[in-house]
Amino acid sequence: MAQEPDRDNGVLRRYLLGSVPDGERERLEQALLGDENLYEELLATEDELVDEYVWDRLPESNRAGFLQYLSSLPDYRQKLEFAEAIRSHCLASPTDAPARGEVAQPGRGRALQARVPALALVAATVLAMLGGVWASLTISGLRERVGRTESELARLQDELLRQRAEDPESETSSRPAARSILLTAGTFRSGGARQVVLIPREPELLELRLDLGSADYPTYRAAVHDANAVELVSVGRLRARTEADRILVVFNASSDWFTPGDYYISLMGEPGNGVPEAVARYDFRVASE
Amino acid sequence: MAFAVLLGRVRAAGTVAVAGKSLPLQNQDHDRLAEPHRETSLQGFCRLLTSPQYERLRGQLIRIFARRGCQFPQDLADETISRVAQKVDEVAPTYEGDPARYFYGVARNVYLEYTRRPKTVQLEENRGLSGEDDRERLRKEETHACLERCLNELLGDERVLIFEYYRYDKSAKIDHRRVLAQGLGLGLNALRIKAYRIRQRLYDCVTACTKSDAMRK
Repeated sequence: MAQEPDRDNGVLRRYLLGSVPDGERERLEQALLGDENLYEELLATEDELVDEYVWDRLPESNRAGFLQYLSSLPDYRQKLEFAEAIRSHCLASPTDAPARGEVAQPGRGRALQARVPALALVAATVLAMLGGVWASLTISGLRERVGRTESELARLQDELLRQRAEDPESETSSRPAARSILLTAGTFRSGGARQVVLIPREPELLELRLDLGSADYPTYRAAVHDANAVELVSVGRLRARTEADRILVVFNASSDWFTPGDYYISLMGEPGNGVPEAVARYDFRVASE
Repeated sequence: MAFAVLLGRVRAAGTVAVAGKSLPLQNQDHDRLAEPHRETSLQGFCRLLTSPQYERLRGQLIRIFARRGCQFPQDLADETISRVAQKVDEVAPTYEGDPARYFYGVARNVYLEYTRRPKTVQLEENRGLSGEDDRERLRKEETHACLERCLNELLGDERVLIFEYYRYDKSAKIDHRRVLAQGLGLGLNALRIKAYRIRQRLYDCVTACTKSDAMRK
């Protein structure tokens, strides 16, 4: 029985629950076959729905349809048992609030029995704190790196503005203010070669221009990944713009974010509310000048 | 011709026979398919027909058929892949575009043929997981034990994340995940994918553990 309204309106969730119209379903199915990232998101959504089913959080109207889908999968029993095991583990490891349906501890007669789970709770809390300290240190290191990168980007942007102020004709000079790079979606995945992007040895501002085709969302999020699918940077709230006969999403990057190798940018549409939705992927190869 | 014969030997990973044959993809087929001097379109098809893309493609097709209400989606997925493999030598040289689209076109035909077959009875939902027999109870106990073992193989922060992300006993799941994401300096979707990947490692570990326990008995 659902205890809270379904606030996730993502298309993948609706697809798995069987509530997308036929035309949208076909487009999504074609996109799934051609996009590894989208498929991974589908699998993540599937797992979340399995959990909701096991935790009895899936709305009654969706249960039968989702179970019909799930029971067709070759490993559905293992998936359900795994989700059950995680649920049991979560319920056995209470946090600040008691789990739903759990009864408060009884009184004096069970003090000794109550002490054992209390000690386990203390041990679990200490472990969680140690893990949290480790995570904080890691996050702190990553944030420092992001901060340095953003500072470098800001410095380059200030330099660009200063040059434009000193020389109003700098845009027409032989040295470009920002190196403009146009990327087209899907050419590599259609069997074509990766687009090659030449970067200078010295840090330089890059203007990455993603050819969109059509603007279906109010804003977009672009995430740059390396060849191992590690996300290097994510930029959100980008608006599409029209230039000549192209619809583009444009954002700046610093050339020192990249070393020679293969990268891709995944572009997600940001609907007004709900989960961002995959739009396109731009594969490219970085080489030094 | 020899190449077509080799490609005709793509195995249907399930129990579906293809034209009366049950043929594995041999190592030399992998080498043959990876020849770099072939046309790009053919390489694209062949890449989808060899590991690891093959397993991903099969999983994608299974889910497409499952979501369309097909009773044996893995058989239909195998049928789709087999049909493409048999035609690839003929289709690939002149095919333009993403090979995945061709797979989709074949899958759609396989689905249409499926819909014309007689329907069978759908399974009823079994909500009574607590009413199972001893075998199921033992299997669940093994899964729990394996989960404990596999959790110890995760890093501390991964262990914390996986349980904080999948806790459904908190009253506001979305807000809880948003707070979790902010704490880690991630967007919500990046957190989703991170949690999914850790969970998948855990799932693979538990699956391997339960299988090896079963083999030991």
